[in-house]
Amino acid sequence: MKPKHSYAYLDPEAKREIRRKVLKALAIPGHQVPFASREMPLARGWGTGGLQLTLSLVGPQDVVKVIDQGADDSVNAANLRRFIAQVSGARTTTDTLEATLIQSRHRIPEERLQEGQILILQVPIPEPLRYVEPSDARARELHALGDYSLLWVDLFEEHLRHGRSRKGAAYPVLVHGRYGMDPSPLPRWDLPKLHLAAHITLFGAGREKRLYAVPPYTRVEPLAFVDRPFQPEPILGSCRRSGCRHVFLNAIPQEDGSLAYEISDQGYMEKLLAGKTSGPLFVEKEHG
Amino acid sequence: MAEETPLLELVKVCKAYGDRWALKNVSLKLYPQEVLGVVGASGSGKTTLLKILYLQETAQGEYRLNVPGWEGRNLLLLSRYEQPAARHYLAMVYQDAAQALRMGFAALTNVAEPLVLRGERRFGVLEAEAQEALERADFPLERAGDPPASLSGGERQRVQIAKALVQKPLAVLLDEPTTGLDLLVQATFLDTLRRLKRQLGMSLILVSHDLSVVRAVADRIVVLYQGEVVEEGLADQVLEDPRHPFTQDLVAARL
Repeated sequence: MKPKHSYAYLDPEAKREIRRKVLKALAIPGHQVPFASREMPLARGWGTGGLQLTLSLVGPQDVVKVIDQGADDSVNAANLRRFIAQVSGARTTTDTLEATLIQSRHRIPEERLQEGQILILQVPIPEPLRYVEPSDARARELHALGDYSLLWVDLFEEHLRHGRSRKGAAYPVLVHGRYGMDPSPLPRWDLPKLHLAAHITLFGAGREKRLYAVPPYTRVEPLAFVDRPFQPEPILGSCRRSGCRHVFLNAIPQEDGSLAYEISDQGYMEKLLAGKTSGPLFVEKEHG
Repeated sequence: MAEETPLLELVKVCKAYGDRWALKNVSLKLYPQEVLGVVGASGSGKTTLLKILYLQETAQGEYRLNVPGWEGRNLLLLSRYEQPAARHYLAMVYQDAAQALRMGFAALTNVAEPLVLRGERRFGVLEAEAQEALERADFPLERAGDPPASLSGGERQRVQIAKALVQKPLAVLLDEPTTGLDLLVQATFLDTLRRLKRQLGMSLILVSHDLSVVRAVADRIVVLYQGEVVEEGLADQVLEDPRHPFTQDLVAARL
């Protein structure tokens, strides 16, 4: 019987196009490469960009992990994982160290990724200049000129008003000293993990039809004034299940109005609770 | 005025929109530490002239700046990618502050912006220099954190002046800077301009339709009429003894 769809859902031409664009993106770190974003059996804005990247790279030997806000079991992550496994035959996992492909929406896992692993991020707005330069044509020109002064002006305003940057996500970074890049919904906590990382990071924006990449061992520097260094989010509590306060925590509102905290990276928390040894972390030192 | 080298020079600049001439053979020179007033009625080409001076408009003719590295170069032939470098030597103050300022960002941020564009990456330095410029422009410092959207017209113009000052430009171009302000605010704003000229030796090109404004600050005056320079000379001379019928009408009209 003829299969209902080609391997890994996308037709070969679509996969080939995306792979070529991925190679281009890797060759020009941080540069947004346009691609023909296909219709997916998923609404735009739910990770179609990341899904297309994953499907164009996945093979039957791969081990896939999908997370959403660090959690393997949230609805979107579970759906995506089931779909990827169904159309590709790849094995799935929640263990960061075991995975070859990790699709994520907000987080980079806490355990240090190694060479050979690929992290794929779902990106809502790929353009770091979107909020300071409404014209896309002008923004592309600014990228070409390497002129990111508008981002610096914006940063100045934030420091002036609040004494610090309040950007939780989309904190602009400079990749390889050249291209300004929007690291998507990653919290500030995760940005240092991109710097000189051993793994490949790919960013896919399905609705905006752009993809970009950070190749291994590439400089990724958050914009910061010389006398106002970049700071990740402070850790405000400790995990209610493991007592940890050395990794990124989710704040969970309680009925009495207070906040409880829990480790955001679920795969890592499961390892801790089961008493298994975890791999080396990206951020080893004590915070809080 | 002895034979000094002009800071800025336009030679026979022509500009046409379609088959209508906006400027015909306009030549002018700006000397160090002088205020040049450009007077003319609506439609006489004042705004076009300023746009050309600020490299926002193309034109035929020659435009030179007397700056090391730019000698002998005709700025009107620059590509749009070379223009920003030349524009660094100039600052523009608009009638409508919204054209120059980010209305939602703090006044201080607006003033610091030119320094950021030049690559200053120390927050403390940016803040201190922007504050100093605002102070020089007689801007009330307690409002430095407010966005221009919530400032008065006079205060907005002072923010623009401070933004110009912080660049330490060769020349400041002012496009009807006091139009729309009430008389008292106009007077104090012109006082600030005169003081800055005296203290910092700034060179200004002031474009206005208002003769009393020009008379208050300008050393020399150029009169534009239908895109041509019809009269040029020392301010008092032109205003007391106008030669061209249009200038005579203009002087008579304000009496």
